[in-house]
Amino acid sequence: MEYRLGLVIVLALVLGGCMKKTQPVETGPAEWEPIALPTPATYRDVVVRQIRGSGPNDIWVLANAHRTDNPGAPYGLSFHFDGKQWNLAEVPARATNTIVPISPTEAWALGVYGTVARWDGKTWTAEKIVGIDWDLIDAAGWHDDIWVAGAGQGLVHFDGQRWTDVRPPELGTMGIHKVFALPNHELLVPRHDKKDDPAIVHYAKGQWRIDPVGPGGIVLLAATGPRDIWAIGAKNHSYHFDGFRWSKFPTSDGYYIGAWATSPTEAYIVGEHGEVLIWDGLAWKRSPSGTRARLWTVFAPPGGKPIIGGDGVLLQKK
Amino acid sequence: MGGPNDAALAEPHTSHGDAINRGINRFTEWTGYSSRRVTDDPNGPRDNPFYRDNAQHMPGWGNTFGLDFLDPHGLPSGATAQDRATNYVGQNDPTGVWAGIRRRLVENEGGYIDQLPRGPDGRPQGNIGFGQVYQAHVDAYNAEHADAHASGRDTHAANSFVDPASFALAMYGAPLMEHLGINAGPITGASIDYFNDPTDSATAGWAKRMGLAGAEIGAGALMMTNPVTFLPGLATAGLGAFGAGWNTASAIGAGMLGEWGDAIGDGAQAVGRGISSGARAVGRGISTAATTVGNVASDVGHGIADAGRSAWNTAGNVASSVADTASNAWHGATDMAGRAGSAVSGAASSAWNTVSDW
Repeated sequence: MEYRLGLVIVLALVLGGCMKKTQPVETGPAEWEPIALPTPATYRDVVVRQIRGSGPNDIWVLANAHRTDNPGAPYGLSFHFDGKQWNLAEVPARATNTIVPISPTEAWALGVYGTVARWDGKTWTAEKIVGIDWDLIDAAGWHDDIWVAGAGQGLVHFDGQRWTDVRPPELGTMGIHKVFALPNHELLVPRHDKKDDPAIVHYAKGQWRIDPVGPGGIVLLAATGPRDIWAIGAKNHSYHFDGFRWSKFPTSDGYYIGAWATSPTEAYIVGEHGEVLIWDGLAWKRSPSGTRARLWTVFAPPGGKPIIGGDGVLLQKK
Repeated sequence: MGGPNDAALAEPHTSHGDAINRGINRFTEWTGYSSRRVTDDPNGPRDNPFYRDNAQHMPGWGNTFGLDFLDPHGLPSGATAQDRATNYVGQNDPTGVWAGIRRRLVENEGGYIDQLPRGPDGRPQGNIGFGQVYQAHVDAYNAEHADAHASGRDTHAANSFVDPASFALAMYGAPLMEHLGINAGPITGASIDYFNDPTDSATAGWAKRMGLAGAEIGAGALMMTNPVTFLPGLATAGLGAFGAGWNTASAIGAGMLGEWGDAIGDGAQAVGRGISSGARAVGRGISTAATTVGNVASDVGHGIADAGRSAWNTAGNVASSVADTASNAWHGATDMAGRAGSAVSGAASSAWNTVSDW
């Protein structure tokens, strides 16, 4: 009898633990307003996956959407803002995972199974990178100097002539999902190792170096320069580098997917359940987005309003 | 794009097959998953052509058992099975776990293919074995979980790869559907979402597989009651029993017991907090009720005392003393009840806090 009672108690405790749910985020009065995209009538359920730009007059949106004539399959879809209006763009569908806008006449889009496409200001040209048989997840870089993360070891690099698989020991053996390019031509890559605390690997002037950050993992990077770098965990924590030291700042219990920084006193994080956090120079504060949708991406063009995007939404700060 | 085997390995579409798959797709979507192809358009996103491009190097009925006629599309069944798998899962991947596993599988199986003997043209000859494909999957799941945990991308994902018998069913069994004009993609994608989802916790994955194993054992036992279906029933029950044992062991290896410990800790904390606050409320209630009863009794006692004084001066003093004594006794009782309530509340609170801390 006691055995059965004990079993019931243990099961109740397990269920109690399993059923513990995070409280939903209170959105409150929205601080963001919708942007209308020129989505073709044959597409629905647009999911905005990435927003990036080289300036306020050159902003790209990569998205997936379902076609009404084939409701099961998400297709790549892209849009471009030229400073006046949003237009449907023609980024090759297989290269709609990530985009690196260098200037209005140069951009790189990357996607599945080693697909890369280049924008010359007029047209997109796609190719398959030989020997890169995996999906390209995130990319960053400068003119003729593109670095790509592919959810596995090492990076893929374009030096202006050819693409190569680069695996310096400093990057470790774990998968890489994020890269970030600083304006001073320094590359940042999160490094995770089973034994050590997470670090950021810097690449500058042909040299790799490891800069330990702090415990907890780094999922997102955002920065405006070498003295304003954010390394952000999936939840609960973020680290800021001011040029001298890393300082830890709490975020919240949400799950974060996108980040962007515009100055040492302004940065953004977005994630699940429509959650948006804004850094005001002192702390991360919630900014009610007015949506409960998953937010995948945030971008703030220099001198422009920040834009966030996600499942069925593209929003701009009021 | 257009790989060498794209046309040969195209999914069959028949009225009966599409009808079955519409039903599967509706069910999986109703349960919060998707079993649709990531795209049917080779120019669309997400399509992974690795298993079509390397179809001849995959294991199948012909190169494993000499039963070539059972391989659909004239190519090893392992190519069909894995093409349908990789292109029918991971439609929604915020943590990148699916993308990581897709890449690791391509790298792991590509590595085994690179080790095959080379022909005169320098290309790999022959096929990799079922064991290598299985090990490639086990390693991909384990490595991606370690990676996702270390980076903090997904600390919850821990569902280890399914047992080899179930994987053999997927590699050799599911593609047979395509001989009947039924695209095996939706059922393959759905079965991975339900029973082999790498983003599940070890406990969730184990629980789902135990449910499947229980159903297999039950169905097998039922079939074994008829002499005609005895042997298939025995095989089905055996598959269930094997899966139950293997998947329990692998779930424990993937940290299931640790998840249980965490869940018990969280549950005890929640239950403890509930009992603690409940005990405090009950204690406060007892204390308040006892004080009220005591005050009423005190008033009654004082009333009796007053009445006694006016009726019998001499006896009144005695009655007053008695009444005061009764009053004091009730006050004492209320204090004791209050203290007892607080003590129960405090003890319960600290006991449960201790339990929850532990």
